[in-house]
Amino acid sequence: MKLRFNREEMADALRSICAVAAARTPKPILRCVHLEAKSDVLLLSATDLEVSVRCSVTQIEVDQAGEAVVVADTLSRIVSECNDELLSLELADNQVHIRGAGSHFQVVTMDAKEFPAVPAMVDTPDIAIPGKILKRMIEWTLFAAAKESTRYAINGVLWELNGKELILAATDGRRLSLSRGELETNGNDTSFKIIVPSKAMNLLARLPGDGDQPIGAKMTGSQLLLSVGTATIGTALVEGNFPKYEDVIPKDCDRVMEMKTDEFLGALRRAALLTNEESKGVKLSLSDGNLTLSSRAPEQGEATVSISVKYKGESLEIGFNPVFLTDVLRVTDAESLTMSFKDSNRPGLIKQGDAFTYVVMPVNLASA
Amino acid sequence: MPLADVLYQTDAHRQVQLAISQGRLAHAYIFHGPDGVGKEMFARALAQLLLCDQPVEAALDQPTASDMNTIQQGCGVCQECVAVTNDSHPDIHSIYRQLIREHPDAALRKRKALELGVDVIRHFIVDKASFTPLRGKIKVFIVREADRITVAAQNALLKTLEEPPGATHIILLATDLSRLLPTTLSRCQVLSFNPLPNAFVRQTLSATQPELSPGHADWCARIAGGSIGTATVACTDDQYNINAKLIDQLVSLDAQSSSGISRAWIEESKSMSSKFRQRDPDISDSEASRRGLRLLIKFAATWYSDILHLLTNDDDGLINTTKKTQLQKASQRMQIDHAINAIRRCSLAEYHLQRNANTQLSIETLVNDLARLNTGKQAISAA
Repeated sequence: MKLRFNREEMADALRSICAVAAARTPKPILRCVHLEAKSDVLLLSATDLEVSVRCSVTQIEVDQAGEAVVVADTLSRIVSECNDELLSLELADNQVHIRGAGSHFQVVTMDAKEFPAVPAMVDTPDIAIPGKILKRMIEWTLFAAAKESTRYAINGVLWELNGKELILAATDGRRLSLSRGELETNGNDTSFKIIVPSKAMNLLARLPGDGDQPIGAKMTGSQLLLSVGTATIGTALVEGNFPKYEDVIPKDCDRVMEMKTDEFLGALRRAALLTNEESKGVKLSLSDGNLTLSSRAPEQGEATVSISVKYKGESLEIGFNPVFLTDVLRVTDAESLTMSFKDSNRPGLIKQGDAFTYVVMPVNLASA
Repeated sequence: MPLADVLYQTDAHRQVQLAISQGRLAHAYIFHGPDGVGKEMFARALAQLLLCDQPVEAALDQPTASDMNTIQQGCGVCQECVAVTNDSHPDIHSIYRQLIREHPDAALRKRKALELGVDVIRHFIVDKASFTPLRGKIKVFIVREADRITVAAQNALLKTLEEPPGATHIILLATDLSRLLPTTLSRCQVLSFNPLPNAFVRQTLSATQPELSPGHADWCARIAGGSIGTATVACTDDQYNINAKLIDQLVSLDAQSSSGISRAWIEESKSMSSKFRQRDPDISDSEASRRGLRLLIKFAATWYSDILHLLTNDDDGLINTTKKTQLQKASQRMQIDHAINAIRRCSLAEYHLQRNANTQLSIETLVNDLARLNTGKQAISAA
């Protein structure tokens, strides 16, 4: 294998590779990137046996095709620390030689045959969704997924595909986040209901690519393949059944408050300053046109913050964990939001049009 | 390694084959038996069978009588089988206590891996079990030294053991069931593995280490009690010569020599401890030398049990067959109850060491008592 490559393009590809290649693993080969040089393209792949990624680098000149396996982190750091525009890479005597102007690196390799197979998107993907929309949907849902729940089915994000509508939903048992999006194409009229692990979702959200490019998806066996530009992500799925999210979304919320997003976020953050693990949360007191947030931390003090909101109706007091509210206010991009309630012991509902729904359970403040 | 290569474990073979043919294979098994009798080999071969694309019938050519002639096993040629044989199959997860060094949390990586802790169990079994298999139809978790899973870790594993997500099989390899919680035991099926016949252990040793003299190989096989693993360790650590030295000391043991001999034992245990620590760097110095002392005590107890065998005219059970003349001499000087008391005294000393008693004190009183028994008196501390 012998080739020259554009350093910047390679550095970008290696960043995605390093997000997947395991930093610590009992199997050393999983710390590596697999390089395969063909006549006009260099394929890079990495896997941690849960998520895999495959990227291609095209600004290259290949003198001799071939393959090599080197530690991903080492190669990535070499490529990003150099400042040449072009670097050359050559495999000789089981070592990869990387040469730039005045620098020469020799990196040990591992046996390419031992590298686990990384799935590739061979046919056209079944479905395509505009990248901007999917990334938005991921941002709206991923934060709500459980981190380390023994209910393993909620340690990921539900993807439910029906016709041309894709629904993403995530919950940790105390809140639920749901977003809907429209597909560009659904070639084979595919429908599925799968749970995608958070790691793959994170990777997808971070992959470079301009937002107008569609993201393709396809199920093969027990894996979901996603293609973003020239990169392909493959991921194992989470086993189990996702809770029935439809039953969680309240349909009878008749007290509707409309507020400016950043004002509400600011007020919440201020009120949250005087909460701690023992105090139960922030109390929202709603009356005509006014919202007062109050909190109390034992042996620390109390806070009261008022803002004006659009609200008409009976006054209401309801408590929430402030983190669950600030999380969602950070990811919405709407200037103003509606939040609706039924009662102080029923969940609150935040909506941004039809595309985004967020349900959050209240905390009981009676004993606080 | 196909299933039929695991020899002398006909009971395990029968139960597994029956369960497979009836489609009742349990999702959680405990393979229980001494170290080094083929538990892990069996677990891997079973995983290979479960992952194999086209399992084949194979003759079960067992040296012992068996009503079972053929078994199902992995074909050994399909992609899945090759991956299992190369130890590169992504759906077989080996779990062992040293995995803590690969844990994502840097603070945990610095810990000594003395036990199989809750962090390893959570990160490497409970979390991984929730994913779909990567290549095959199922995933298999093989947990080595499962009797060293901490109580907290066993509790963390209960839910996964009871109802593993999807097609998951968990196999716990254990030598000591008493260290597993009743809640763990009740969620698993226990398959018992037997000690291997001495003759087979001796053959295997002689085949792998041809330079060994027959008497040496025979002693290693006998002292190992049917475990190829223990016998191999006995060989590599040169326990044969350590035992010979100890026997010389026991033969000459009396009130005058006892303090010198107990010092010699403690020195010996220290030099043995470095070998233990090479094999398992996580154990502490004092634990390693305790293990050495316990081994010496085991040799002493074996010596007295050999005397007892001779006194009761039962030559078959002898371990120290190469020391027969010394044994006969010693047995003429000893009565049956003295030999029994000596064995009891050894087991008391082992118990003390297990309970972290002062090593020097335990050994001095033991050797002192053995000296008294040797010269026809009663021991001071009786078991």
